[in-house]
Amino acid sequence: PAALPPAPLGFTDVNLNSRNTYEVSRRRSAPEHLPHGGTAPAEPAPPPQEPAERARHRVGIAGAGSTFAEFFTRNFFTKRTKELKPAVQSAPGWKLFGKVPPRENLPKDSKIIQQEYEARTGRMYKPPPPSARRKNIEFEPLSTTALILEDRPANLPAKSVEEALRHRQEYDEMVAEAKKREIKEAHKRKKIMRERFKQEENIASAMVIWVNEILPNWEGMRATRRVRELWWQGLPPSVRGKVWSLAVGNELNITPELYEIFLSRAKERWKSFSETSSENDIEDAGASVADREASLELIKLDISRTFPSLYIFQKGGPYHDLLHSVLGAYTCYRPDVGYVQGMSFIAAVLILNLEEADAFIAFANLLNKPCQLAFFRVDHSMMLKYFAAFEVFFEENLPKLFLHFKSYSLTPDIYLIDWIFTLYSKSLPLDLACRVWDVFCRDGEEFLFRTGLGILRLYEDILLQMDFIHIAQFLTKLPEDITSEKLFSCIAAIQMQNSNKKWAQVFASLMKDNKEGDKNHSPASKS
Amino acid sequence: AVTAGGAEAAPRGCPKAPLDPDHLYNVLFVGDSHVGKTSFLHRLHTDTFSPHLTATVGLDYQIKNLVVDNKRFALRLWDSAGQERYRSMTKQFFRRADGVVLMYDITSECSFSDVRYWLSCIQEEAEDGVAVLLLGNKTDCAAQRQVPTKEGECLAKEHQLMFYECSAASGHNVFESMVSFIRLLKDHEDELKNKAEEVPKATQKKKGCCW
Repeated sequence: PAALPPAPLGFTDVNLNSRNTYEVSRRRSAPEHLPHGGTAPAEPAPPPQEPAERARHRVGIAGAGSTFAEFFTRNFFTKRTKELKPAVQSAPGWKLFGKVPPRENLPKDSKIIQQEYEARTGRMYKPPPPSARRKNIEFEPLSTTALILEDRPANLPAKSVEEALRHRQEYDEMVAEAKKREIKEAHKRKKIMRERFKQEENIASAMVIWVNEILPNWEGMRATRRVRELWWQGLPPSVRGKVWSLAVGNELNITPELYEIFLSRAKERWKSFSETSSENDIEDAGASVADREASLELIKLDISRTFPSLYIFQKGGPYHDLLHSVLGAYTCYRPDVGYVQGMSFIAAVLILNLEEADAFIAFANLLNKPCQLAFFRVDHSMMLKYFAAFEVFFEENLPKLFLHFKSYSLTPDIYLIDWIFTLYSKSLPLDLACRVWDVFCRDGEEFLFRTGLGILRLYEDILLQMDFIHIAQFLTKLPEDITSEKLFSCIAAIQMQNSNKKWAQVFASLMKDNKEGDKNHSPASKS
Repeated sequence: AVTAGGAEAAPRGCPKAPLDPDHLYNVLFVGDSHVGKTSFLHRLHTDTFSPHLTATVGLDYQIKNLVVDNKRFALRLWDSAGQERYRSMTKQFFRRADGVVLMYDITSECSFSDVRYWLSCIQEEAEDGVAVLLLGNKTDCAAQRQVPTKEGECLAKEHQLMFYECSAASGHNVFESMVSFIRLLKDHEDELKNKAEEVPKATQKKKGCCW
């Protein structure tokens, strides 16, 4: 019986699920009880309704032996099953609660099960040694409910009346409490559903306005008060990509054909890259980081690390190749900028909202904006100007927090780098990040810094309690429950006005200072 | 003492330390992109492994409290982006660091050969004699190993670095290496203190330290 003949094809096909668990253990334990062992699997497949019947049958057997609770206690919830002898190891648990047992129609089968069952309950002709030790095994309930509802196992003294009463009462209280909680949660869910419904209606009506009125008259309407207000509310997802494209523009005059050209160039480079790297792996290893940076390997590594929780950019995911293409084409289009970590997030957000070529066009134009260019080229002096301008408005809007940060010499680069490089797509929930992008497309770079101040304002009270490293940790991993209502009301409360100077003017005067050779006083400038 | 090899068993640090640590160290994590810096910190922080961590942009920050030898230590951990482009931004953190953890991936020959590059960065930008821990990560991927343990050991010896191999995925040597590194940082701090106090006196014999 040890070497069973392979099961017929049809048989294994149907039983794949059930065989793997139960059958294996049965084979291990069965031999001594199996007079005609070898013939077993060769039997024809039984009718399909049999498993359920057999399962019922087995439960019946189990129930017949002793009380159900006792059966439970002894056989399922003991942690000592491992100590049992291998001969008894075919856990009857599978028969009761496992997958439906396999359809084997051994004539002796029920007898074997009976024997196994008897072995477990200790009423067998060959009593298993551990049974004596298991007599005073502690009762391990699955939950409090089980403890109260199940009758006490017979091997424990009965509860006193008062105790039983008290337990009953405590149980009732628990149930009442749980019910109350459930009702409360149901109300909450209803409210959320109502709000969502309202939101969806708003989006639907906004979409009609965007599609029918605004988009056909884009240039004439984009700057009107009505459109700007509607824009602030968030773009309907169906027009989002289109509006972003229009707002970002195409100063670089990139056409879909041009994209195809750069994409095919990128593909050639990948090909030659993979060929050379496999040929002289070791000789190449001496190349500096900077050299390889230009290569496309980093893109490959980063793609699957872009929005990993969405599972769509990972290898084999639907957008993996797309993201690879857009980023690869960009490094060929702009070798002076190249690929910089953080870009993959921007490209990913665009890919989620636009067609491939349009995503590339928006990507290239977006990265060509002065602020993005300064950051992605890591132009230190320019970045410091942006940080300094940010600090001007930080002090103006949140003087207390500004001083708190100053006292720890916590410079804005510590949190702004991540926010600006990824346009908040990494640090904010994606839907919220898209709303930030909406207004960023409307207001330009200024809005990125305003959003940063909005976040600081939103968490001002918490941040005032924190020291340097905790602030840094908090701001690079913002709470996930941040809501758009709260954040946008905080952003709205941020005034981008400093003694009558707007962002652009403040920034321009900082740039002028630089030309005059003045040192600005941002602590970050020391580096 | 240079603890190359990491064979000595270090007691597991207690994960929680009460407020007010006895010692506070800034530790900067550097190394090529994708060697597992963030995963290592994630393991240290939550004692779990997440295969779905995002790429680090700029810097990430974490604080970790550990009790070692009955002293409370707070580590401020600075997790830097691996890409060379970001290095100029990391500069100021090199200077603030009491210790640097230089990580490579044992399944990537490239990441190991870049260790020399990162060492030159440390030499240029960090304080002289900053404590450095060389970590070869991903020991769980033994089948893909490209860098023999010996090579890591040799390099560590050559540059007088503490050395461990570890796995953020399995947890192997994650706490152990940090505990040893804390001891090294502590020795280092003591030595600096002694130096400051005893500048006029003849320098005492220090318990074996490599600087």
